[in-house]
Amino acid sequence: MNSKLSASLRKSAIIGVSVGALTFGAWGTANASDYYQQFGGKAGITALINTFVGNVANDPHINYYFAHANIPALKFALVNQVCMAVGGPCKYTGPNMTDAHRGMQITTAAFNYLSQDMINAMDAHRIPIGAQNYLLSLLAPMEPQIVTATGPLG
Amino acid sequence: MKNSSPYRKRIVACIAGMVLVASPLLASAAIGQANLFGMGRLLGTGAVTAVDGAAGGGINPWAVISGYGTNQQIGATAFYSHVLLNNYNMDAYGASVGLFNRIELSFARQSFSLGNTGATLDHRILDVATGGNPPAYGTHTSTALGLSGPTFFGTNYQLNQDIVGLKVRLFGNIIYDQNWWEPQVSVGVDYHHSEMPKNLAETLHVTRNAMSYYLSATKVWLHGIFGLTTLADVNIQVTNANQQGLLGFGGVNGMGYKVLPAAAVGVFLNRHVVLGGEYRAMPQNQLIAPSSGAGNFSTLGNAVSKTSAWKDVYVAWFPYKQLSLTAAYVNLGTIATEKSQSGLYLSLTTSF
Repeated sequence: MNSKLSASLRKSAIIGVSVGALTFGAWGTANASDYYQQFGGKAGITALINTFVGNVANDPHINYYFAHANIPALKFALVNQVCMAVGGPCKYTGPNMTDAHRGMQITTAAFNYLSQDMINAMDAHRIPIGAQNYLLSLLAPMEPQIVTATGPLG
Repeated sequence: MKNSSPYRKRIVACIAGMVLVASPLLASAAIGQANLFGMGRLLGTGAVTAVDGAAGGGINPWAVISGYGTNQQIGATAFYSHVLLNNYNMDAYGASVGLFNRIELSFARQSFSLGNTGATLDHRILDVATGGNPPAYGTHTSTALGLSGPTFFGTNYQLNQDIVGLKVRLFGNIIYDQNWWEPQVSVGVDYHHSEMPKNLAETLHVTRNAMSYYLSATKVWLHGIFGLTTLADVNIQVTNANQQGLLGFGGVNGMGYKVLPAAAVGVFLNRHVVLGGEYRAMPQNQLIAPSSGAGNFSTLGNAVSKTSAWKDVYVAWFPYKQLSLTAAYVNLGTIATEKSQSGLYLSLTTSF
């Protein structure tokens, strides 16, 4: 298991929760473990990831990035990653995001299309908007680690 | 004709084959390079279009770059807005290009219609010019103000201006900067050209062409208030524009620039609908030189000079990336002596 990633994920979860508590706590934002329940626990997250990976496979903007991917291994990693991020009792043991995407020339557009595929999957599974946004707010900051393709102006 | 049929079939088959063979090549060619004219940003991140033509809210530019282009893409927008106030109407339309999520070039044309209020303003000018004893409307000139004709504004008068804008994103990203406080920050410069007649500009003591500047900081919390995506924007305007240029620039006391705030907030109820409000402070320049003519012009001058901060509450709908519709209740305060200019704002932006 990669302790660096789990530490960084835990750190971002802690930062997210504490910023949430500091900034929006007064408005009664749910905490991470509530969100794990709202995702339907491990079973709900597994179903979500199946839909998500299906969406990606059908998304012509990005599916070619996954042409040689080991899909069962990818799903296993994603379930644990999402489960852990939303406060569930799981451990992601894969490589960190920088290593996992090294050399893949991922564009910002591809990152965003993948995010949209996740949003569509969460909508399909009727995940409440607050839980969706919580997960997205943890995934969005990974963009600088995942996207390596640059544009003409940076 | 019959003879050509097999050839046609062969050509069609040949083209189909080429497309089939080329498609994986095209796909693999796309690794590391997004389609130049694609719309690779997330829904809503191009915002809507402000009346000055810049991507933002209804009355303020924001730090976002227009359209949906990523750092490898070029996007474009076109917009049309209509503002229905108690005594005036305004139309605005224009277009913009967003280059590589870094540079935004925009153009807007605004037409501010006085309608029947023009006649009211004529009456008011005559009233002052004749010391409160005006002749029948339409029989007297308003030469006292250096204006011509039996009526100057009449009932179908328009104040028009063109605005060419340049906005550059300096740093930050509204979506990816979630773990810390840093907003997306852009700096903008607008060149305004007002088509106000020269004699009116001289009477008001304003210039018709000017630059205005702004610094805009926009922060989005994807998981904000009540877990909803929440936006806050703060701008610093550096401007001498009267009613953002519709009444020219500067005034009796010169062309001095004012540093003024503007702000906006928004909450995304879901991925498609955002509710919010805006505030934009306006400079107040003294208009109409005391030497403009006979009569007591200081009262009229003060009344024309009066401006109010612009405010709105809005709802914007993004059904998909190519379209946004915005409705707002705006309160622009006093404009050209008419108080309480509030009303409905409707706006449409297309992105491609």
